[in-house]
Amino acid sequence: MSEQASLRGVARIRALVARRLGVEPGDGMRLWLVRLVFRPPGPGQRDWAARGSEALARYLHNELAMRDGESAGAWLTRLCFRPRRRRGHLAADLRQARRQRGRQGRSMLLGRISGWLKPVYGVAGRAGRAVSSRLPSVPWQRVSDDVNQWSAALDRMPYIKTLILLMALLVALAFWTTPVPLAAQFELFILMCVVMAVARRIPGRWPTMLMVSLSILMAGRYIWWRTTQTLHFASPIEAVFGYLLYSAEIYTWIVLLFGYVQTAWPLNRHPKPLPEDPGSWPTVDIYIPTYNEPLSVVTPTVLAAKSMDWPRDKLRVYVLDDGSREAFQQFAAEVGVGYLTREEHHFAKAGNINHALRLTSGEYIAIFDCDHIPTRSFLQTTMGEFLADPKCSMVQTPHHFFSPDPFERNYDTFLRIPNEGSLFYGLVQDGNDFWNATFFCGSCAVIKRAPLEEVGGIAVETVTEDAHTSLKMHRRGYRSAYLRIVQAAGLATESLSGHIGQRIRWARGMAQIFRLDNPWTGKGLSFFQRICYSNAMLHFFYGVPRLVFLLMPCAYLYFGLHVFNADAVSVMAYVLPYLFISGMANSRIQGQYRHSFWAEVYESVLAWYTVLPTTIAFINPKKGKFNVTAKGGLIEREYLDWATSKPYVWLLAVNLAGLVVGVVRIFTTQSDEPATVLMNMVWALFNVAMLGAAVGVAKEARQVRVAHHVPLHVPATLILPDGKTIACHTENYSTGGLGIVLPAQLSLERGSTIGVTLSRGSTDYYFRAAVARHSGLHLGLKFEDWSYEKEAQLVQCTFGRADAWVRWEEALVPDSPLRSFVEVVEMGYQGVLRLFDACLDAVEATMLRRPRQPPG
Amino acid sequence: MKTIAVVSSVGGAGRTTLSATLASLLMARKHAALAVECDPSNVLALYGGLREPARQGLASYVLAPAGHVAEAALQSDDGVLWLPWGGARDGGAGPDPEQARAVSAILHAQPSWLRDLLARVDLPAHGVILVDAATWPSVHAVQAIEAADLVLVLVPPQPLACATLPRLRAELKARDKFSLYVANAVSPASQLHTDILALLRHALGSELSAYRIHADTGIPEALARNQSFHLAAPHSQAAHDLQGLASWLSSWIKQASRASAQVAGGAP
Repeated sequence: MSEQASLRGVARIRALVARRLGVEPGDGMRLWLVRLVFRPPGPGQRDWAARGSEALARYLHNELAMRDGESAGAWLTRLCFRPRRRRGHLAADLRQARRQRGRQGRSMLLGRISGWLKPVYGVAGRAGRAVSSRLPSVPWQRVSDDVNQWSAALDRMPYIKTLILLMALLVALAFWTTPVPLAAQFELFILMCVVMAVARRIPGRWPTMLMVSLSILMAGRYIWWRTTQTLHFASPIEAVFGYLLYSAEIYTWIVLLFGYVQTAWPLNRHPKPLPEDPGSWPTVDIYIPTYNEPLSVVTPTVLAAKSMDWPRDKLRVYVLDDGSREAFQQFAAEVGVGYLTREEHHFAKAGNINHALRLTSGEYIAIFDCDHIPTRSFLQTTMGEFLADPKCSMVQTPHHFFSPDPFERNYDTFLRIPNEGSLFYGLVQDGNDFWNATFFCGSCAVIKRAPLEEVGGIAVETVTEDAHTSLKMHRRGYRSAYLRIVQAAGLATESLSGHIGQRIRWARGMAQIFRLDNPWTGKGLSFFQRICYSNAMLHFFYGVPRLVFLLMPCAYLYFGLHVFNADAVSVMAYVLPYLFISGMANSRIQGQYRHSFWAEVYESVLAWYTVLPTTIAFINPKKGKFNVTAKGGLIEREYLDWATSKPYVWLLAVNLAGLVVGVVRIFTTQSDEPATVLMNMVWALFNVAMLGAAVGVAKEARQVRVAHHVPLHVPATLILPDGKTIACHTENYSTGGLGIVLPAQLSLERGSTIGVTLSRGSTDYYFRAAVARHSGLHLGLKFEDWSYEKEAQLVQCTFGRADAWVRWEEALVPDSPLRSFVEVVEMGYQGVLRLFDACLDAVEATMLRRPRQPPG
Repeated sequence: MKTIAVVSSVGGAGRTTLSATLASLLMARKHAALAVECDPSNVLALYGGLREPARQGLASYVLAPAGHVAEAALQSDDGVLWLPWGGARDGGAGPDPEQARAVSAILHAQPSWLRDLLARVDLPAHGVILVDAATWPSVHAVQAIEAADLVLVLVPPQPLACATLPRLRAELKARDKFSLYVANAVSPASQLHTDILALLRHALGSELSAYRIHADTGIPEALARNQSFHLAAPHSQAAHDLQGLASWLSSWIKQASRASAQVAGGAP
């Protein structure tokens, strides 16, 4: 009773005070405080005091990171103690940074500087354009045609080619071996640079040949100087290291020269037409070997293979299941394709195919890895070659990947910078084709049965059965062809360790072939075929030379060993021209298929891992095991792959320490030869950039979606529940689902059923789907009443389209060496920062014994 | 200047909608466009923004050849010229039956009447006249076909359209008219539509346009709201299809004009 009375008393006092102060009894604490000091405003006046207090409160909330409704105690504590803050990451999120910078394409390191220099660029660019628009244009195409005609006319004269080549060799020998003073050597360098700079602006193949010839001349001069002048060593230990470096260099010279021969004249073959009457077309078996891949990966491939454009009675599809799985057998029966399995699993994929060879009878065999989805036009594109040339035994098409490989994903370079494989399929194989040395790559190819059986089926002696098989067929005098038209596409390896595993297998296999069936020995190959094959194999021996280059500056920085007996000025006079001119020539040849300096990054990552397998395979080709490439994984959380990056962390540490030692050296013991120290430090710095990039790749970026969620851009039509239509584009595809980009905002409920139409040629295919997610312009659909028939239709409208991949080359940007260099250095820098972050994370995780949460 | 007749062998195929939309789409592609209605239903002007049926038009000109057709023509905001059929009277009444009979008789007697009339229209070199004809067979459709350089045959994917199509096709062949068949109001969700399209593709080959116009409920809605469909719903698939068809026609007009200019230049 009394309690109630006192409560009522308090309420009355409260109301009284409130009236006196001019506040409502229910108002917040803040207003009461304000009114204690400030009088309430008159009618029509602004309440400045209340507004100011509100702003102050907001500021304090923000500054002290307080939430609403925290107690006064919490406020007091927070006023005196800083909140625990999450440690920020030093390395930039490349994906976000790129989005923020938009499409300007400015480099991150040089971003601000190039911002300042923008007006200068603009003026210079405008002036350049104004001048070039006044200059008369040269009809380069006509000039090039004329040169072609002259050279063809010259070629017809007997002995003239031999004579010219001999004379060229004599001139080159004189050029290589003439000693000149250093100043003259520098002048030569400048002259060459000017010629190269002019030549690289001229389109066509003849300027390329000029650049290659100049590069060979300069390289020869360097080699002669290096061999005759720099191999005098003061002590045996210096001699050992010196010759190690020298032999690593010999390897690069051979690869450079062979590479020029291999890619001198890409054939650029066009598909040959098939006869009018489909009745005369040959029978084709399609093999889809699988071992442990999930059915969802294999299904689209099988369905796409089944719906290729080829007479129905002449096309047979077989799933070669080495895992003997029940589900696969059921699937094959359901969609009406052959299912072959075997009791004993000898020789992995090669054995699997050989087993199928005995059970089938098609005249030609098309082989697809189980995740390479062919387009409908694959056979019509490739088969013409066989009918035009009866000696043709194999036609290869590129392997194209529609998902980013670990390099591309972790550095966000997908579709921006050509990946590791694009040089091989864009240029090397096409160059091989000119010398009739294109080899089989295990998938996306057609092989003629008769020659294949003649060489005893797919080779089983090595782990790269594909290249070995075509080597055998070339030895028998058969021809091969390469069509640089993407006719199938697949998933790239998901994780870095898987990627490295695959490269290790290739490296081992190539080393095995080099030992067991060396292209330089044995009968049946032409000289240039031998060069092409051996270059393909030599390529994989880069491990040891690369490690030598990565460690060699430390020989001087740590131990003061002079492994390169020349003073700094003559090194500049000979090494720089060689590197510079060959870099420019390679940049010209490789153009859009490989950007300068990226090869170094790729090789630096793989070098350590390929050393041991190639060496072992080289010593004893029978040792070692076959490992299957893992595909279709999922990376749920960002992490640094410590196990993979360990060797690079060590190499990086060695080089960084070398830099520190260098600084000490330059001021103490070696103050008499600062140029040499500096040169070695620059070399070490370059190594740090490469190794930084290598470590950075090991930081696995999070993959948002499950494996088979692949990017896919085709037009589609939505049919909304109210009967309206929307023209839109698909964004990605996964089994049973589709991502759509809408042209404008729509109001759609989650779960509502809509229709989506995709087209194949002039036929529409209709799919019923439910809205699974919808945010902004992005729409996620889940198909209803899904069946193999529907999936086959979907594959036909998407991956199976003949034009599905025709534009992939257009996305590639031509190389510009300088920008590429900056980009690689930037990656190296980011890589070092990532390593630093990961170290701190690891320390924190061990100290606090809990995994670090990803930042929100 | 080229004349395109829009005809079909069944009613409700969407001739008027298509004629009106194509006229403004071609106008947007820098072709001076005139839409002519050769159909007594007298509804074309509604698509041009008129609120009630037109009184003046082609019909009034048939009866009074001395009058100026240009007086009956209307112009919409986007510059398209409209020549409706006309003949509406006060109180919402239709044309006088006597007059209608007389008009039909004249059209029947002079099959090339419309062609001669349109030949006198002075449009720029790349101009285009779209004639919205009544359902074929009729005297109005014959006039339109006779006047046309290109006959645009609308085929809704319906059994009846398939049944009557061969006759229309034979007639067009007999008159040696260049014709383009366009499937209109196609709904991919319907298996019947898909099958009929396959049938049409087989029967017509390359004469069937690659642009099939999808069914869209937005089209009648736009008319009810007095809007241009392709402007009101620019992202709809049907608008995309119409744009595609208009682009095809635009390049055809340019090619055909160039060809006829060459013939005219080489002849004298």
